[in-house]
Amino acid sequence: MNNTSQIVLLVWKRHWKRNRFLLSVFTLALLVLLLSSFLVTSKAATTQEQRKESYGSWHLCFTSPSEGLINKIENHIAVKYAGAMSAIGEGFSNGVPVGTVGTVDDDMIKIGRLKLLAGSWPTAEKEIAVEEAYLLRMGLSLDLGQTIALEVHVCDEETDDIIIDEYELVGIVRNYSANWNNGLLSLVNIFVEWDKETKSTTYYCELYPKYEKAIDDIKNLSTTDPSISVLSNDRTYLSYEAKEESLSDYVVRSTIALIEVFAGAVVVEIDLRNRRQEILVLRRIGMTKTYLLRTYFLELSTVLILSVVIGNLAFVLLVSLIYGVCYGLGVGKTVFYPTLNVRHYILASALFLAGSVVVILFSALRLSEITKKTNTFHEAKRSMKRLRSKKYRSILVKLVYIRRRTTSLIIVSALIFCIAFITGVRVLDTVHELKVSLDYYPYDYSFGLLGTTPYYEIGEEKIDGIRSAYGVKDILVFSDHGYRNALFMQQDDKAYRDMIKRIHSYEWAEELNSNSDDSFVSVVGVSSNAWEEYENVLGIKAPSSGEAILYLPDLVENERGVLLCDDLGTIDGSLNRIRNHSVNVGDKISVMGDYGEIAYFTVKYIIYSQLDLAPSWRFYYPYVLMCNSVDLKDSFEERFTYVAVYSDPKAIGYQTDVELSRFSDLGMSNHRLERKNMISDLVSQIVITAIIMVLMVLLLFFLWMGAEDANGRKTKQINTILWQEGMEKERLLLLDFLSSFIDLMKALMTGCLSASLVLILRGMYLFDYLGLSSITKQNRLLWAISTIDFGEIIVLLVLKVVFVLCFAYFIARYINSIEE
Amino acid sequence: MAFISVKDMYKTYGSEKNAAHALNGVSLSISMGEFVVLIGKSGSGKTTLLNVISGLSVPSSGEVLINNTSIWKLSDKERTVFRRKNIGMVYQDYSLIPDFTVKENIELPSYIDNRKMDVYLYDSVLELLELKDKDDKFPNELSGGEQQRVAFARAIVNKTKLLLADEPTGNLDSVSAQEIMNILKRCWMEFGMTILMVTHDLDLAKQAPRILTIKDGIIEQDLKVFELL
Repeated sequence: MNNTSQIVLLVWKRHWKRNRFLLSVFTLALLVLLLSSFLVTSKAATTQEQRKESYGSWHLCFTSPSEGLINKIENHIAVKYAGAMSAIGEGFSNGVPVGTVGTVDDDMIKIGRLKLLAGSWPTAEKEIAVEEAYLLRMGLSLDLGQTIALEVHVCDEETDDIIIDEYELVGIVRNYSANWNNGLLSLVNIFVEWDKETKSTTYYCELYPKYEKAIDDIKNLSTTDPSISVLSNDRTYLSYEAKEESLSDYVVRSTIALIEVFAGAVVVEIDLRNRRQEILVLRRIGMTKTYLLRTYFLELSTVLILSVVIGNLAFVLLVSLIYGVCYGLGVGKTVFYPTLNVRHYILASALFLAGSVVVILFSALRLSEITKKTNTFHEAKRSMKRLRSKKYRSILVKLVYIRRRTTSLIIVSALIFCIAFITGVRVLDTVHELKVSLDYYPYDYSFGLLGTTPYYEIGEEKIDGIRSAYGVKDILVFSDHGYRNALFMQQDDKAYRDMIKRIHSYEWAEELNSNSDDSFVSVVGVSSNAWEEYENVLGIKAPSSGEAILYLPDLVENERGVLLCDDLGTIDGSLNRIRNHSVNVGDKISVMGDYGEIAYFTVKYIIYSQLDLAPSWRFYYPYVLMCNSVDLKDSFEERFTYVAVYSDPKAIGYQTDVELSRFSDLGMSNHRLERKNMISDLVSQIVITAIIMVLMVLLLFFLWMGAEDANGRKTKQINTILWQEGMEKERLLLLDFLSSFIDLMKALMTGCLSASLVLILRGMYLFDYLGLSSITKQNRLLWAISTIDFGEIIVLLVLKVVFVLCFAYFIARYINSIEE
Repeated sequence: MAFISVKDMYKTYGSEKNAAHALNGVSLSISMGEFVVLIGKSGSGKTTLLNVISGLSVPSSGEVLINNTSIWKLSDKERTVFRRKNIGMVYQDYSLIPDFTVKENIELPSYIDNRKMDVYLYDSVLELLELKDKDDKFPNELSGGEQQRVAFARAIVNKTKLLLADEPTGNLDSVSAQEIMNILKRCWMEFGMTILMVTHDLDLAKQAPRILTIKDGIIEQDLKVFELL
């Protein structure tokens, strides 16, 4: 063993307490980096996996493709799996339709994530497997082996076959069709073994992840045959949102990495301060600079390598624990899907090692500078100069001041608070989304909002069907009767016409100075039972015959001439608000009917914001709102109907899903399922945020403790003098608490300042001016910050201040020592 | 009547196996206005006794009465307040806060006690201790003797009845040490303070009217000045 190694070993032994602190910080920093990356990646994978479980992992499907197209799809380099789902016909039991009968191949089972709750898929001719809820709907038990009599009306235009037979139930399939149903897919509910040709086959394909971007190329394969329609699985692959998430995750990860580097630098700086006296003595007894540098570098590198080893081991241990919990309890994939990319973590460890070595090397190079500067006289002179500027302050201020921590420590804390703020805002963002969903879609299902054209019409028969479906408690119906010519009777409201022109100009790029004097209004109807909500919000009774509520959008024009609609009442009040029309309550409006007749309405109430429960998706357009019962249909044909469904909380949710999915031509939005997913997302986000925050707080705690150890002697000395002079221990604790609190508050404020700055810049439309509007639009995080409620931010800040108070108290307890 | 009364004082450091008995049943009595010097070798228990009397170090057993108050029967907070109001301490290492100026260091006890410093007394004490032009200096800018004088000034300005000095001349040369001794004598004579000083300097000790010698934690001798002469 050479001299250097011996010295390193000796120093290691002597410096164990100090190196233990270095080791803890380096290990914890690496652990935070790896674990946060792992959790964020796993969370994204879990969300995707949950979507796949609900909506299948297929990317595209082709309805009734030709043999040639199937060959092309199967042989395409981007296609991983391709499977078929064929509908044979409609199944009837005792003359009542009970679901679509059909067949699926093995690949389809795989990419559709079709799962058996019990039994097996049918392999023989008289065997069937049925979706669980469909079995319940038929009034059957869930016992395998039972015989089910079915009448299958084969869907074939040429023949009119009806197969009547008895089948043995061999499998129960987990409900899937209610989730998949978008009004366009032909989904099988009763699965049979079928070797004959079918007329209605949908071909599904899943792509390799690396070829996902080539989705349009695959879509284009069918362009030669216009009879084939191609649908993409937008519910699983929310590519737009995924991009947004990855951008904000990138910001979070970069900030964490920055914290690690900074924490490393601070910790080494603290260590250097601790060693000053020792370095000075070693130099005085003749140790050369190179020798000193080598010894120091070797010692710290040993600590660093050890911390990387321990950090990685701890990471592997934690991840194994997470894997064990997830898969041991059988909750993997859907609840939490741990995703480990070994190469990624090796790279992260290597980068951490490299970054830390640079930090250590840089500090080692400063050793000689320290020996030059560590001169008692110069040190004292510097200290005097600094103190003289504080000379005339009160004793209390000075006592707090002389306990201050290092600036770099405050910066690291600020960064940690910044990341805490960002993650806090992200959690609030999800809470906000959930709140919006609950506020705007309090009902559990809705129909008819899929297209912007009156394509999906809902007749009275269907509305009655929805109303009487299993689990449906109540329904509200809103109908759109089109955009029509309108005229104000009392006065010629030019301002109103100008507003319409402006909307047309903005929406349809029409000439703003057009000479047309036409004035328009949309006509919207609301079912009688929905009026109760309007009565509660607006405080008025339902309009009687000939009365209507007028919605006048609160339009705002920003500095760049962009027309904004303050539909949620959130736009800055300083902008130019277009509200100069003279329409008043009591005015009469005449609206042109379908057959040229004129209907007259009296304005009973005017609403300006969608917050007042205006049931329209055309935020920019004014409309008159009427009760359906007021002979609306006599004059205006229905263009579009929106049905909101409240389900009975006592009903079995998934069975209601299935019942409502029977209206397969309507396209159902399942808000109940979306809310469930949102809550699950929120819970996982809170858990992940909590884990990252706990690790961050631990890191922060170690850093502060390390700094206290470095300054501890001085604090202890001053505390002892104050105690000897008669200051009570409680007051000493209060002093230490005050100084820690002020330092932490500085860090908290600095940390939140950057986020607030973004908020202000966003408010000033600076990103738009700089041509960076795409960033603000795409970045969900910035969107979240700009749309989030100030009250929520204040609550977040109050929580952080409470945390700072507790943290400062613990630090004070730690440092508060005297020599008795 | 005794101003300070110490009865059967024991103080042991460490656990039973490695116990070190610093005080082995010390009993003594000091009247109000007395100037007493405690001498002894290193490790004889001088500083321990001083700390026990001042209420800084908890005794293993025994009682300390200062002006009829049994200080070890008081709560920690009451004892601290009692110490603040009645006892002034001067140490070998001066016990000055390096970040505070001379004035601030002297003002510290008044600040802790939430009262205004007696400015007239402050000026006269600074005059007396020749620190008049040093009140805005920091301790690091003063000599050892000057720093010790500041420590004395702090004790005097606080108007305490009892002054306990733990080897106040330990770090000083003989000239400065004598200066400090002169200050102590003036404190005793001009301010009527009761003084208990710990030292191992026999020449300085001889200047006090009463000397206590301590050995292995027991008061060995109690000498009045005429006995010494």
